[in-house]
Amino acid sequence: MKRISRIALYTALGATVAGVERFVPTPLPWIRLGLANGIALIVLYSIGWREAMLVNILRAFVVGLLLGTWASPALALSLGGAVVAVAVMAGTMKLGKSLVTPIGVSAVGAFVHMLTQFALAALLIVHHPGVFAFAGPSLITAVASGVLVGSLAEVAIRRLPPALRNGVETAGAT
Amino acid sequence: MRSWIKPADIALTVILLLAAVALTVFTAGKKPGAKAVVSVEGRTVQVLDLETPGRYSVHGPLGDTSIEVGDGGVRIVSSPCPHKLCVRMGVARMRGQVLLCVPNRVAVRIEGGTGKGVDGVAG
Repeated sequence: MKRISRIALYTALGATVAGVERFVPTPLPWIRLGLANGIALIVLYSIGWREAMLVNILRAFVVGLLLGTWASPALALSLGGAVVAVAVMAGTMKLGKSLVTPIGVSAVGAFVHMLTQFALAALLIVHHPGVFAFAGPSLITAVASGVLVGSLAEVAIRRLPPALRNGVETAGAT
Repeated sequence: MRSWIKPADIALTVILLLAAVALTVFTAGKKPGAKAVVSVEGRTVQVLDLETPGRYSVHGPLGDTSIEVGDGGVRIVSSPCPHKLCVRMGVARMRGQVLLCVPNRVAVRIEGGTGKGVDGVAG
């Protein structure tokens, strides 16, 4: 499959997942399962970190467009979390090499994603570290969901059809 | 075949969980607060004494957010945001607790100290 088609497909997947998980009731505004990072994780393992970063960033913008949050700080939080999550997941994957599986990588990604959102909220919205009072339980939830998402991603990665993997470009090189 | 999970994964997860739990314990509601500092877009607009019940209104980009002090705590009563998550946050009483309306850029922060001093600070 062409690169642009793959990216579009994964972005759409990520956006769908992110949109759906917003319906999950949560006690606090930013607690999200982070399933969308699972999509980035799949891209990370099957294609590469650049595509994963691109997909996650695009996904954040698309979801923001769909939900009308482009003018609000929520987009900054979403983008920040998306970028940092992929960067750290990629780093973990490279540093850990064969010692880590998507589960660990996902746990780290989810943790960092949540932490980044709190940090950005403290910096951009509340201007006070007091918001971190909510951070503890949120981070616990994040790690738990990270492990869950990592497991799901692991299944997906193993069963991915070759057309979605890295490498062979079909006719019509970019 | 690759195994599903490896020791490093478990170690990472445990470390992260411990960090999260530590943070939770560390920030768990300490002492009751004495005042609520209300800020809009980062600027403090009101300082409310938690012992003095009353209703206040602050103006943000989306409109007016209504805040109520009562029973030693403060809560957001209404806000022009789409999801009213701030209202659902409930009452804040302990130091360090924060009520937030992200869309309307309103933050209500509980602080300690000598609460009986000022009733309100503008600007």
